[in-house]
This record gives sequence, C-alpha cells and structure tokens, in this order.
Amino acid sequence: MSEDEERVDPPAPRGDRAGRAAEDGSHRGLDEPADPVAEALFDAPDHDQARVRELLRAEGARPLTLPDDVAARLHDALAAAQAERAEREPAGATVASLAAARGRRGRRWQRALAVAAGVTVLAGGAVAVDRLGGEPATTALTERVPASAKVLETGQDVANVAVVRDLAEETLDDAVVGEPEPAPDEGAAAATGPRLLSAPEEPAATSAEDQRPAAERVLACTRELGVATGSVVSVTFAAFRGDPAAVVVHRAGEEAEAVVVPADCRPGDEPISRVDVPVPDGGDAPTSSDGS
Amino acid sequence: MTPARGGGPGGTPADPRSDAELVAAHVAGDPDAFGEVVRRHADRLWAVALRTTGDREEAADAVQDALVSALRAADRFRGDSAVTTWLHRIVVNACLDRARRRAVRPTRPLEEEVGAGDDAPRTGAALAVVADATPSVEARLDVTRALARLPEAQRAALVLVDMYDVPVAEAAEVLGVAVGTVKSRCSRGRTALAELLTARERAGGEG
Repeated sequence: MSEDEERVDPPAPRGDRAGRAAEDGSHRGLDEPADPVAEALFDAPDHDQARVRELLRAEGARPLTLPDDVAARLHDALAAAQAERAEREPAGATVASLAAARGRRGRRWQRALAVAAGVTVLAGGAVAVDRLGGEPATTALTERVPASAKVLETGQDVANVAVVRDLAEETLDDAVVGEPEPAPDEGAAAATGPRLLSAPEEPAATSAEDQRPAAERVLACTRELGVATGSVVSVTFAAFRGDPAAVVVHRAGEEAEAVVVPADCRPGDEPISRVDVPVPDGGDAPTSSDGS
Repeated sequence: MTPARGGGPGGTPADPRSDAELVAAHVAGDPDAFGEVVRRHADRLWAVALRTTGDREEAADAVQDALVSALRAADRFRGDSAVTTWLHRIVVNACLDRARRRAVRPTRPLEEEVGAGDDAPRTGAALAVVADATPSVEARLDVTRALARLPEAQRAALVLVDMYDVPVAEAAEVLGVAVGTVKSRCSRGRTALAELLTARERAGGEG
C-alpha cells in the first residue's frame, strides 16, 4: 500500500486491514496496490466508463423493496436477538468497564490492606439450584459468582489470543496483591475483620452486580468445563467475531487460564477457546470460603 | 421488536428521532428503537445486498446476519460514522464474507437465476446496449447481468458508488479500504463491464 493511499483512508477505523472484526460488529477489508491509471480514469472517465456508469445508475434507480418473506424472516431473527439481549442485559443494567478497572490500578495498596486483613469469598463453588415448577432442576443452571471476582464488560472482540491474554492479564493484575507494608495503624485497622477483596473505594462493584445473573449462568457452564468457581478472578463480557461471549479468568496457584465461552453458554456446551495466561508477580490465588 | 417494515408514510407515524438517537435508545433498552432503524433502511440495504451478492437467498441471509450482528453490537457503535454507513458496512461485509465462502463452491450459471422474481438479478435479456441518454431496459438488464461476473470487491464498489451514488469517501469507509482503492476498483470494474457488454454486442450482432 502506498503512503498516499494510507493518507487518504477515512478516519476512525475500528477493525484492521486483515478483515478482522471491529468492535461495532463490522470489519475491514484489505487495500490493494495503488493504480494511478485506474484512479485517473475514475476521475475522468472515458466514453466506455461513462456509458457503464450511466447504465449502473439507471439500474440503481429502479426501486427494490425488501420482499415480504425476507422481511418476515428478518423480523423473527431480530425479535429473537432482541429477546436474548433483553435477557442478558436487563434494562438499566450498568457494568464496570475495563477502563474503569484500569483506573483503579493505582490503588493496589488499598487492596493489599484488604487482603492482609483476610479475603472473604462468599459461596465459592456453591451451586444455586434452579427450581422449575417447585422441583429442583437436575442440572444447576447458575453458579454463584465469588464476591471477589469482578464482572466486567469490554467492547473488544476476543477472536485474537493476544486480546484474550491482555484482558486476562488486566484482571489478574488488578487482583494482584501488592507487597503490603501498611502503616501500623492502617494494618491494625485492616486486621479487625474480614473484608472483601474489593476495596471500600470501589463502588463499581455495585454496578457490576447487575451483570452477575448473567455471569452466574456463564460460571455454571465453565464449572462443567473444569473451572473451579472459587478460583474465578473475573468474568468479562465481550464479543467473539461479533457474537456475545464471556471470558472467564481463573487461577490456581501459579497457573491462570482464560476460558472463552458464548455468553449464552449452558452446562455441557463446548468452550470457544482456552488460553493460558501468565500470572503477574506477587499475585495470590483467590481463596474461597470453602477452601476451593 | 417491531416489524421490519410498515412504518412511515401511510402507516405508523414516523418516529421523529434521528438514527443515532434510535441506536442510543436501543442500547438504553428501548425495544422498538432498532426496529425503527431497520424499517427506515431495510429496502436500501436489501438492494445493496442483492446487487452485491447477485443472489436472492445469499442477500437475504447476508442482510439477516448483518442486522442481527448490528443489533447485538449496537452498544459498541461509537457514532464516528453515520448509522447508515455503519449498517451498510456490516451488510456489505456480510455479503463479501458469503462470497468468499461461496468461492470454494461451483458458481451457479447465471441462466439459472432467470425468473426468480422481480427482485432477482435480471438475466437472459436480449442484448441491446445503446448510447442513448436514457438507457433502455435491456441495456440495464445486461449491465446487471455483466455485473454479476465481476469480482465481489469490484462489484461492491460499483454498487455503492455508481449504482447508489454513495460518495467515494463513504464507500471507502463502508468497504474499509482507502479512497484510492475504491476508485481503482470502480474504474477496473467499469472497464471490465464495458468489455463484457461490447463482447455481448458483437456476439448479438453475429447471432
């Protein structure tokens, strides 16, 4: 590609030139080598080109309306997608964004204090039993999200391994316990009782709660894939090639993994991908109340 | 979700909100907003898809896939471009994706598409390209038939720029390529079409 072509390319591309998906569901094509002769002909068409252009214009002027059968198909497909979306994202739901998570990274010392005081993870591995018609369902369709785990959302498409790793490292990094050297009084205050991993100054956890029902369904799926719920660090809602997906990051000791699944994954479904993730230095694995 | 068609003049009063406002409302949870966007642009998107794919079923699948994808990804639409540009981009990409997948399969002979319906690509018409200022129906049908023989990328560029008067810069954004690439594709496509039409003229003259 010539520099000239690069310069005149329209602004704000959100995909890439390899045809990968952009955040908004579109994707981009590939440029071709510059062809000055062809470009010049475009600007000053000869007789043949002008004739073809007129023919195309005339054909384009012929009105085409969406056929009724196609409109009906489209209506059904959009209604189904809308219903799925409404189920996944209840109206008014807000979630913590990765950008917000990044903005909190500077407060590690506060998290260190919280962890030094003892991390409480609620109900790791606990199974919420769905009741259908008053009877317990044979397969749990939800799995309670550990209180320490973050529920996030990103606009990124996770079709690329590097993107998955970056997302996972962000959340692992965010959960890393720093080297706590709290002031004596701070340490004493922190040691007075168990606190959540989320620092008191992170009210974003409140908004993340709205997405927890969806995350619970995802964790019921990943549990069947061998992911111990108590080891989950984060559940990030994203897209995989335009379709809703979730990235579950979990950690056991010095090993961490990101499991990418469809956002509507159900127990027994296959994962989209599994990616090993480097564990940042100084991190502790999450600890659940049941020791898992 | 409201039906994909039926609003506007003569039907339900048109929604006064702009496309961008409707997309924002959809993201905020308005269940009817995206349907209104679709209602406004479905015919045009259909026409572009049909011209780009040259196949009614492929066009229907492409439009459906694209609009479902747009509905799901609407919260990631940042308004850097017009809603129509965004929708065209997704539809055209869906068409090109299908064309790439179809490339590994044998292409149906053009003649099989005759009589598929009024909205199907026209084929089989008598050859009668004229240099008149108002192209004859036959000439228009011939150019559509020839268009189906072009590479998909050239076809998409011609459909947008020459057939539907989309500005080159906007077409570049829709196609995700440089402006110069769009011009080159259009120019090469016109040349190829002219050659195809000339060849048919000669064949018709001999027959």
